[in-house]
Amino acid sequence: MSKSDIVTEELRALILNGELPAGTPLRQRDIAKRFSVSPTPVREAFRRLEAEGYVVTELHREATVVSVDPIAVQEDLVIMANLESLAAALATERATPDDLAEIESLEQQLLDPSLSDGELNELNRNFHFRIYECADSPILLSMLNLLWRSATAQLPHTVKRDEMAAEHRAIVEAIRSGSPPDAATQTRLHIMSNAPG
Amino acid sequence: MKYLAKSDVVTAALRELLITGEIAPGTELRQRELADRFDVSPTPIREALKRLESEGLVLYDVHRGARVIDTDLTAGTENFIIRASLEGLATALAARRITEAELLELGTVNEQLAAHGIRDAHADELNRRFHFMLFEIAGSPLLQSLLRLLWHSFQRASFINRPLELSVAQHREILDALRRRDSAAAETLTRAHVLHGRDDVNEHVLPPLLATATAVIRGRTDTDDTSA
Repeated sequence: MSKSDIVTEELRALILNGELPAGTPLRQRDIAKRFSVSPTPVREAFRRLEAEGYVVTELHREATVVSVDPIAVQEDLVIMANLESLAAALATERATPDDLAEIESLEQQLLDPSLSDGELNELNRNFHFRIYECADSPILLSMLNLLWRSATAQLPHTVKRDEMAAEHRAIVEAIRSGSPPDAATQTRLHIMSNAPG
Repeated sequence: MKYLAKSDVVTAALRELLITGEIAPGTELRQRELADRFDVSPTPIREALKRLESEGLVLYDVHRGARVIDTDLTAGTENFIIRASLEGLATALAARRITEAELLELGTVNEQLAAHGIRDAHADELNRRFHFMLFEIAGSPLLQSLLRLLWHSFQRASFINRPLELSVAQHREILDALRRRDSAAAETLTRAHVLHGRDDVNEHVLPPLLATATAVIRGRTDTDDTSA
Protein backbone atom coordinates (compact mmCIF):
# COMPACT_ATOMS: atom_id res chain seq x y z
CA MET A 1 0.00 0.00 0.00
CA SER A 2 1.55 3.29 -1.03
CA LYS A 3 1.64 6.33 1.24
CA SER A 4 -0.94 8.10 -0.84
CA ASP A 5 -3.23 5.05 -0.56
CA ILE A 6 -2.95 5.22 3.22
CA VAL A 7 -3.53 8.96 3.41
CA THR A 8 -6.52 8.64 1.03
CA GLU A 9 -8.06 5.83 3.06
CA GLU A 10 -7.56 7.59 6.38
CA LEU A 11 -8.92 10.94 5.20
CA ARG A 12 -11.91 9.24 3.57
CA ALA A 13 -12.62 7.42 6.84
CA LEU A 14 -12.34 10.66 8.86
CA ILE A 15 -14.76 12.41 6.49
CA LEU A 16 -17.21 9.52 6.54
CA ASN A 17 -17.28 9.19 10.33
CA GLY A 18 -17.83 12.92 10.71
CA GLU A 19 -14.54 13.76 12.38
CA LEU A 20 -13.84 16.07 9.47
CA PRO A 21 -17.24 17.71 8.92
CA ALA A 22 -18.32 19.55 5.78
CA GLY A 23 -16.53 22.83 5.29
CA THR A 24 -13.37 21.75 7.12
CA PRO A 25 -10.34 23.13 5.32
CA LEU A 26 -7.57 20.57 4.81
CA ARG A 27 -4.13 22.09 4.46
CA GLN A 28 -1.51 20.06 2.71
CA ARG A 29 1.14 20.89 5.28
CA ASP A 30 -1.04 20.01 8.30
CA ILE A 31 -2.11 16.71 6.80
CA ALA A 32 1.46 15.84 5.81
CA LYS A 33 2.54 16.50 9.41
CA ARG A 34 -0.35 14.50 10.85
CA PHE A 35 0.56 11.43 8.79
CA SER A 36 4.32 12.05 8.86
CA VAL A 37 4.60 12.03 5.09
CA SER A 38 5.89 14.41 2.44
CA PRO A 39 3.48 16.75 0.59
CA THR A 40 3.41 14.56 -2.53
CA PRO A 41 1.20 11.71 -1.23
CA VAL A 42 -1.09 14.31 0.37
CA ARG A 43 -1.51 16.11 -2.95
CA GLU A 44 -2.22 12.77 -4.60
CA ALA A 45 -4.79 11.94 -1.89
CA PHE A 46 -6.53 15.31 -2.42
CA ARG A 47 -6.73 14.59 -6.14
CA ARG A 48 -8.24 11.18 -5.57
CA LEU A 49 -10.72 12.35 -2.94
CA GLU A 50 -11.79 15.13 -5.27
CA ALA A 51 -12.45 12.59 -8.03
CA GLU A 52 -14.58 10.64 -5.58
CA GLY A 53 -16.49 13.78 -4.60
CA TYR A 54 -15.36 14.09 -0.97
CA VAL A 55 -13.42 17.34 -1.24
CA VAL A 56 -13.01 20.27 -3.57
CA THR A 57 -9.61 21.81 -4.15
CA GLU A 58 -9.24 25.43 -5.09
CA LEU A 59 -5.48 25.40 -4.92
CA HIS A 60 -3.21 22.42 -4.88
CA ARG A 61 -2.30 23.09 -1.28
CA GLU A 62 -5.73 23.19 0.20
CA ALA A 63 -8.89 21.13 -0.01
CA THR A 64 -12.29 21.61 1.63
CA VAL A 65 -14.55 18.82 2.78
CA VAL A 66 -17.75 19.07 0.74
CA SER A 67 -21.19 19.03 2.25
CA VAL A 68 -23.65 16.47 1.05
CA ASP A 69 -25.68 18.29 -1.52
CA PRO A 70 -28.97 16.48 -2.25
CA ILE A 71 -28.89 17.58 -5.89
CA ALA A 72 -25.36 16.25 -6.33
CA VAL A 73 -26.43 12.98 -4.72
CA GLN A 74 -29.30 12.73 -7.17
CA GLU A 75 -26.97 13.39 -10.09
CA ASP A 76 -24.44 10.85 -8.85
CA LEU A 77 -27.19 8.25 -8.63
CA VAL A 78 -28.18 8.96 -12.22
CA ILE A 79 -24.57 8.44 -13.28
CA MET A 80 -24.44 5.18 -11.35
CA ALA A 81 -27.80 4.07 -12.72
CA ASN A 82 -26.61 4.72 -16.28
CA LEU A 83 -23.33 2.88 -16.01
CA GLU A 84 -24.57 0.03 -13.85
CA SER A 85 -27.56 -0.66 -16.06
CA LEU A 86 -25.23 -0.70 -19.07
CA ALA A 87 -22.96 -3.16 -17.25
CA ALA A 88 -25.95 -5.33 -16.34
CA ALA A 89 -27.17 -5.33 -19.94
CA LEU A 90 -23.76 -6.33 -21.27
CA ALA A 91 -23.42 -8.95 -18.53
CA THR A 92 -26.72 -10.46 -19.59
CA GLU A 93 -25.32 -10.98 -23.08
CA ARG A 94 -22.05 -12.43 -21.88
CA ALA A 95 -22.67 -14.33 -18.63
CA THR A 96 -22.00 -18.07 -18.73
CA PRO A 97 -24.09 -20.61 -16.78
CA ASP A 98 -21.25 -20.76 -14.23
CA ASP A 99 -21.37 -16.99 -13.81
CA LEU A 100 -25.10 -17.15 -13.31
CA ALA A 101 -24.75 -19.87 -10.68
CA GLU A 102 -22.26 -17.75 -8.72
CA ILE A 103 -24.45 -14.67 -8.98
CA GLU A 104 -27.43 -16.63 -7.66
CA SER A 105 -25.34 -18.07 -4.85
CA LEU A 106 -24.39 -14.54 -3.74
CA GLU A 107 -28.02 -13.49 -4.02
CA GLN A 108 -28.98 -16.37 -1.70
CA GLN A 109 -26.25 -15.53 0.82
CA LEU A 110 -27.65 -11.99 1.02
CA LEU A 111 -30.92 -13.36 2.37
CA ASP A 112 -29.30 -14.53 5.62
CA PRO A 113 -31.01 -12.45 8.36
CA SER A 114 -28.05 -12.85 10.72
CA LEU A 115 -25.80 -10.71 8.50
CA SER A 116 -24.59 -7.52 10.15
CA ASP A 117 -24.99 -4.27 8.20
CA GLY A 118 -21.28 -4.34 7.40
CA GLU A 119 -21.41 -7.90 6.13
CA LEU A 120 -24.49 -7.09 4.10
CA ASN A 121 -22.73 -4.14 2.49
CA GLU A 122 -19.71 -6.18 1.55
CA LEU A 123 -21.73 -9.07 0.20
CA ASN A 124 -23.94 -6.64 -1.71
CA ARG A 125 -20.87 -5.15 -3.36
CA ASN A 126 -19.65 -8.65 -4.29
CA PHE A 127 -23.05 -9.50 -5.74
CA HIS A 128 -23.18 -6.41 -7.96
CA PHE A 129 -19.57 -6.63 -9.06
CA ARG A 130 -19.90 -10.34 -9.83
CA ILE A 131 -22.55 -9.25 -12.36
CA TYR A 132 -20.55 -6.30 -13.71
CA GLU A 133 -17.43 -8.44 -14.23
CA CYS A 134 -19.44 -10.48 -16.73
CA ALA A 135 -19.79 -7.34 -18.87
CA ASP A 136 -16.19 -7.96 -19.83
CA SER A 137 -15.35 -4.28 -20.14
CA PRO A 138 -12.29 -3.13 -18.17
CA ILE A 139 -13.07 0.57 -18.62
CA LEU A 140 -16.61 0.16 -17.37
CA LEU A 141 -15.42 -1.88 -14.39
CA SER A 142 -12.82 0.72 -13.55
CA MET A 143 -15.43 3.48 -13.59
CA LEU A 144 -17.79 1.45 -11.44
CA ASN A 145 -15.01 0.93 -8.92
CA LEU A 146 -14.53 4.67 -8.77
CA LEU A 147 -18.27 5.25 -8.38
CA TRP A 148 -18.60 2.75 -5.54
CA ARG A 149 -15.92 4.62 -3.61
CA SER A 150 -17.75 7.92 -4.09
CA ALA A 151 -19.30 9.89 -1.27
CA THR A 152 -22.78 9.18 -2.61
CA ALA A 153 -22.19 5.42 -2.63
CA GLN A 154 -21.09 5.64 1.03
CA LEU A 155 -24.20 7.47 2.19
CA PRO A 156 -25.93 5.59 4.98
CA HIS A 157 -29.15 4.64 3.25
CA THR A 158 -31.70 2.85 5.31
CA VAL A 159 -31.67 -0.53 3.67
CA LYS A 160 -34.96 -2.33 3.81
CA ARG A 161 -33.72 -5.86 3.46
CA ASP A 162 -36.91 -7.29 1.98
CA GLU A 163 -37.04 -4.59 -0.70
CA MET A 164 -33.39 -5.12 -1.48
CA ALA A 165 -33.97 -8.86 -1.83
CA ALA A 166 -36.93 -8.35 -4.15
CA GLU A 167 -34.96 -5.93 -6.33
CA HIS A 168 -32.00 -8.31 -6.50
CA ARG A 169 -34.36 -11.12 -7.46
CA ALA A 170 -35.75 -9.04 -10.33
CA ILE A 171 -32.24 -8.29 -11.60
CA VAL A 172 -31.19 -11.95 -11.47
CA GLU A 173 -34.39 -13.06 -13.19
CA ALA A 174 -33.82 -10.57 -15.99
CA ILE A 175 -30.26 -11.79 -16.50
CA ARG A 176 -31.40 -15.41 -16.40
CA SER A 177 -34.11 -14.74 -18.98
CA GLY A 178 -31.44 -13.30 -21.25
CA SER A 179 -33.06 -9.90 -21.69
CA PRO A 180 -30.50 -7.05 -21.64
CA PRO A 181 -33.15 -4.28 -21.59
CA ASP A 182 -34.89 -5.90 -18.61
CA ALA A 183 -31.60 -6.31 -16.76
CA ALA A 184 -30.85 -2.64 -17.44
CA THR A 185 -34.28 -1.51 -16.28
CA GLN A 186 -34.25 -3.56 -13.08
CA THR A 187 -30.75 -2.38 -12.23
CA ARG A 188 -31.75 1.24 -12.79
CA LEU A 189 -34.83 0.88 -10.60
CA HIS A 190 -32.74 -0.73 -7.86
CA ILE A 191 -30.24 2.12 -7.83
CA MET A 192 -32.80 4.90 -8.07
CA SER A 193 -34.72 3.42 -5.13
CA ASN A 194 -31.88 4.85 -3.03
CA ALA A 195 -32.65 8.35 -4.23
CA PRO A 196 -33.53 10.81 -1.51
CA GLY A 197 -37.05 12.23 -1.51
CA MET B 1 -14.03 1.65 8.82
CA LYS B 2 -12.95 -1.47 7.01
CA TYR B 3 -9.57 -1.35 5.37
CA LEU B 4 -9.10 -2.61 1.87
CA ALA B 5 -6.79 -5.53 1.27
CA LYS B 6 -3.50 -4.54 -0.32
CA SER B 7 -4.36 -6.60 -3.37
CA ASP B 8 -7.59 -4.60 -3.82
CA VAL B 9 -5.70 -1.33 -3.78
CA VAL B 10 -2.98 -2.61 -6.10
CA THR B 11 -5.58 -4.04 -8.49
CA ALA B 12 -7.47 -0.76 -8.65
CA ALA B 13 -4.32 1.32 -9.11
CA LEU B 14 -2.88 -1.00 -11.73
CA ARG B 15 -6.18 -1.19 -13.60
CA GLU B 16 -6.25 2.58 -13.85
CA LEU B 17 -2.67 2.68 -15.14
CA LEU B 18 -3.46 0.11 -17.82
CA ILE B 19 -6.70 1.68 -18.91
CA THR B 20 -5.33 5.19 -19.16
CA GLY B 21 -2.38 3.85 -21.13
CA GLU B 22 0.15 5.11 -18.60
CA ILE B 23 1.53 1.60 -18.82
CA ALA B 24 1.50 1.05 -22.57
CA PRO B 25 -0.18 -1.88 -24.32
CA GLY B 26 2.18 -4.80 -24.74
CA THR B 27 4.42 -3.76 -21.82
CA GLU B 28 5.93 -6.59 -19.81
CA LEU B 29 4.73 -6.54 -16.22
CA ARG B 30 7.50 -7.64 -13.86
CA GLN B 31 6.36 -8.55 -10.38
CA ARG B 32 9.44 -7.16 -8.68
CA GLU B 33 9.23 -3.79 -10.43
CA LEU B 34 5.56 -3.47 -9.61
CA ALA B 35 6.20 -4.49 -6.00
CA ASP B 36 8.77 -1.67 -5.77
CA ARG B 37 6.47 0.81 -7.47
CA PHE B 38 3.59 0.14 -5.08
CA ASP B 39 5.82 -0.51 -2.10
CA VAL B 40 4.30 -3.91 -1.35
CA SER B 41 5.44 -7.53 -1.28
CA PRO B 42 5.09 -9.69 -4.42
CA THR B 43 2.00 -11.48 -3.06
CA PRO B 44 -0.59 -8.72 -3.63
CA ILE B 45 1.02 -8.03 -7.02
CA ARG B 46 0.56 -11.65 -8.05
CA GLU B 47 -3.02 -11.53 -6.84
CA ALA B 48 -3.68 -8.27 -8.72
CA LEU B 49 -2.20 -9.64 -11.94
CA LYS B 50 -4.34 -12.74 -11.65
CA ARG B 51 -7.47 -10.64 -11.22
CA LEU B 52 -6.60 -8.32 -14.08
CA GLU B 53 -5.98 -11.39 -16.21
CA SER B 54 -9.51 -12.53 -15.46
CA GLU B 55 -10.78 -9.08 -16.48
CA GLY B 56 -8.94 -9.44 -19.78
CA LEU B 57 -6.41 -6.64 -19.24
CA VAL B 58 -3.37 -8.81 -18.62
CA LEU B 59 -2.09 -11.71 -20.67
CA TYR B 60 0.00 -14.58 -19.31
CA ASP B 61 2.55 -16.33 -21.42
CA VAL B 62 4.60 -19.24 -20.08
CA HIS B 63 7.79 -17.88 -21.59
CA ARG B 64 7.32 -14.16 -21.40
CA GLY B 65 5.40 -13.79 -18.16
CA ALA B 66 2.64 -11.20 -17.72
CA ARG B 67 2.04 -8.49 -20.29
CA VAL B 68 -0.50 -5.75 -20.81
CA ILE B 69 -2.86 -6.82 -23.58
CA ASP B 70 -1.97 -5.38 -26.92
CA THR B 71 -5.43 -4.76 -28.26
CA ASP B 72 -7.06 -1.39 -28.40
CA LEU B 73 -9.18 -1.01 -25.32
CA THR B 74 -11.06 1.84 -26.88
CA ALA B 75 -12.40 -0.17 -29.78
CA GLY B 76 -15.30 -1.66 -27.85
CA THR B 77 -18.78 -0.57 -28.71
CA GLU B 78 -19.55 -0.09 -25.03
CA ASN B 79 -17.06 2.74 -24.80
CA PHE B 80 -19.17 4.75 -27.20
CA ILE B 81 -22.26 3.90 -25.21
CA ILE B 82 -20.58 5.04 -22.01
CA ARG B 83 -19.52 8.29 -23.65
CA ALA B 84 -22.96 8.83 -25.18
CA SER B 85 -24.58 8.23 -21.84
CA LEU B 86 -22.28 10.40 -19.71
CA GLU B 87 -21.80 13.21 -22.20
CA GLY B 88 -25.54 13.32 -22.81
CA LEU B 89 -26.06 13.65 -19.08
CA ALA B 90 -23.37 16.33 -18.79
CA THR B 91 -24.98 18.42 -21.53
CA ALA B 92 -28.42 17.99 -19.99
CA LEU B 93 -27.04 19.32 -16.70
CA ALA B 94 -25.17 22.10 -18.47
CA ALA B 95 -28.41 23.28 -20.10
CA ARG B 96 -29.72 24.10 -16.66
CA ARG B 97 -26.62 25.90 -15.44
CA ILE B 98 -24.95 27.58 -18.36
CA THR B 99 -24.53 31.36 -18.19
CA GLU B 100 -24.71 33.82 -21.09
CA ALA B 101 -20.95 34.34 -20.87
CA GLU B 102 -20.31 30.61 -21.06
CA LEU B 103 -22.63 30.30 -24.06
CA LEU B 104 -20.63 32.97 -25.85
CA GLU B 105 -17.34 31.33 -24.98
CA LEU B 106 -18.49 27.92 -26.19
CA GLY B 107 -19.79 29.48 -29.40
CA THR B 108 -16.44 31.20 -29.94
CA VAL B 109 -14.52 27.95 -29.58
CA ASN B 110 -16.83 26.27 -32.08
CA GLU B 111 -16.42 29.13 -34.58
CA GLN B 112 -12.64 28.85 -34.21
CA LEU B 113 -13.04 25.20 -35.06
CA ALA B 114 -15.12 26.11 -38.10
CA ALA B 115 -12.61 28.73 -39.26
CA HIS B 116 -9.69 26.35 -38.79
CA GLY B 117 -11.04 24.29 -41.66
CA ILE B 118 -8.94 21.15 -41.46
CA ARG B 119 -8.95 18.19 -39.17
CA ASP B 120 -5.53 18.21 -37.51
CA ALA B 121 -4.04 18.23 -34.01
CA HIS B 122 -5.13 21.84 -33.44
CA ALA B 123 -8.69 21.04 -34.50
CA ASP B 124 -8.68 18.08 -32.11
CA GLU B 125 -7.55 20.42 -29.34
CA LEU B 126 -10.36 22.91 -30.08
CA ASN B 127 -12.85 20.07 -30.20
CA ARG B 128 -11.54 18.81 -26.89
CA ARG B 129 -11.83 22.28 -25.39
CA PHE B 130 -15.45 22.56 -26.53
CA HIS B 131 -16.38 19.25 -24.89
CA PHE B 132 -14.38 19.80 -21.71
CA MET B 133 -15.95 23.23 -21.20
CA LEU B 134 -19.32 21.53 -21.33
CA PHE B 135 -18.24 18.91 -18.79
CA GLU B 136 -17.15 21.66 -16.43
CA ILE B 137 -20.32 23.70 -16.86
CA ALA B 138 -22.32 20.56 -16.00
CA GLY B 139 -21.12 21.14 -12.44
CA SER B 140 -20.78 17.54 -11.32
CA PRO B 141 -17.27 16.72 -10.08
CA LEU B 142 -17.92 13.00 -10.35
CA LEU B 143 -19.13 13.23 -13.93
CA GLN B 144 -16.20 15.43 -14.83
CA SER B 145 -13.65 13.02 -13.42
CA LEU B 146 -15.25 10.06 -15.20
CA LEU B 147 -15.26 11.88 -18.51
CA ARG B 148 -11.68 12.95 -18.03
CA LEU B 149 -10.70 9.31 -17.48
CA LEU B 150 -12.69 8.26 -20.51
CA TRP B 151 -11.23 10.88 -22.85
CA HIS B 152 -7.76 10.16 -21.55
CA SER B 153 -8.15 6.51 -22.41
CA PHE B 154 -9.53 7.41 -25.83
CA GLN B 155 -6.54 9.57 -26.65
CA ARG B 156 -4.65 6.80 -28.34
CA ALA B 157 -7.48 6.19 -30.74
CA SER B 158 -8.75 8.76 -33.15
CA PHE B 159 -12.42 8.60 -32.44
CA ILE B 160 -13.60 11.48 -34.56
CA ASN B 161 -14.91 9.88 -37.67
CA ARG B 162 -16.69 12.68 -39.48
CA PRO B 163 -15.87 15.75 -41.55
CA LEU B 164 -15.03 18.85 -39.56
CA GLU B 165 -18.02 20.81 -40.93
CA LEU B 166 -20.33 18.13 -39.64
CA SER B 167 -18.82 18.29 -36.15
CA VAL B 168 -19.19 22.07 -36.18
CA ALA B 169 -22.80 21.84 -37.36
CA GLN B 170 -23.65 19.30 -34.65
CA HIS B 171 -21.99 21.52 -32.03
CA ARG B 172 -24.14 24.43 -33.26
CA GLU B 173 -27.28 22.37 -32.78
CA ILE B 174 -26.18 21.48 -29.26
CA LEU B 175 -25.47 25.17 -28.59
CA ASP B 176 -28.98 26.08 -29.79
CA ALA B 177 -30.50 23.58 -27.37
CA LEU B 178 -28.36 24.97 -24.55
CA ARG B 179 -29.48 28.50 -25.42
CA ARG B 180 -33.10 27.37 -25.17
CA ARG B 181 -32.26 25.64 -21.84
CA ASP B 182 -33.73 22.51 -23.38
CA SER B 183 -32.08 19.70 -21.38
CA ALA B 184 -33.87 16.90 -23.24
CA ALA B 185 -32.87 18.16 -26.69
CA ALA B 186 -29.32 18.90 -25.53
CA GLU B 187 -29.02 15.36 -24.25
CA THR B 188 -30.46 13.71 -27.36
CA LEU B 189 -28.29 15.78 -29.71
CA THR B 190 -25.15 15.04 -27.69
CA ARG B 191 -25.80 11.32 -27.71
CA ALA B 192 -26.36 11.40 -31.47
CA HIS B 193 -23.14 13.43 -31.85
CA VAL B 194 -21.12 10.85 -29.91
CA LEU B 195 -22.74 7.88 -31.61
CA HIS B 196 -22.54 9.36 -35.11
CA GLY B 197 -21.67 6.61 -37.55
CA ARG B 198 -21.89 3.91 -34.91
CA ASP B 199 -24.82 2.07 -36.37
CA ASP B 200 -23.83 -1.00 -34.35
CA VAL B 201 -24.79 0.69 -31.11
CA ASN B 202 -28.43 1.48 -31.37
CA GLU B 203 -29.61 -2.10 -30.95
CA HIS B 204 -30.99 -3.35 -27.70
CA VAL B 205 -28.77 -1.90 -25.00
CA LEU B 206 -29.18 1.73 -25.74
CA PRO B 207 -32.86 2.70 -25.63
CA PRO B 208 -33.78 1.44 -22.16
CA LEU B 209 -30.50 2.59 -20.79
CA LEU B 210 -30.53 6.10 -22.03
CA ALA B 211 -34.09 6.67 -21.04
CA THR B 212 -32.65 7.43 -17.63
CA ALA B 213 -30.85 10.69 -17.56
CA THR B 214 -33.30 13.13 -19.05
CA ALA B 215 -36.29 11.59 -17.35
CA VAL B 216 -34.75 11.90 -13.93
CA ILE B 217 -33.21 15.28 -14.52
CA ARG B 218 -36.45 16.59 -15.97
CA GLY B 219 -38.44 15.22 -13.06
CA ARG B 220 -36.22 17.19 -10.75
CA THR B 221 -36.10 20.26 -12.96
CA ASP B 222 -39.81 20.82 -12.81
CA THR B 223 -39.87 21.04 -9.06
CA ASP B 224 -36.73 22.89 -8.10
CA ASP B 225 -34.91 25.56 -9.91
CA THR B 226 -31.23 25.79 -9.20
CA SER B 227 -29.65 28.72 -10.86
CA ALA B 228 -26.11 27.94 -9.84
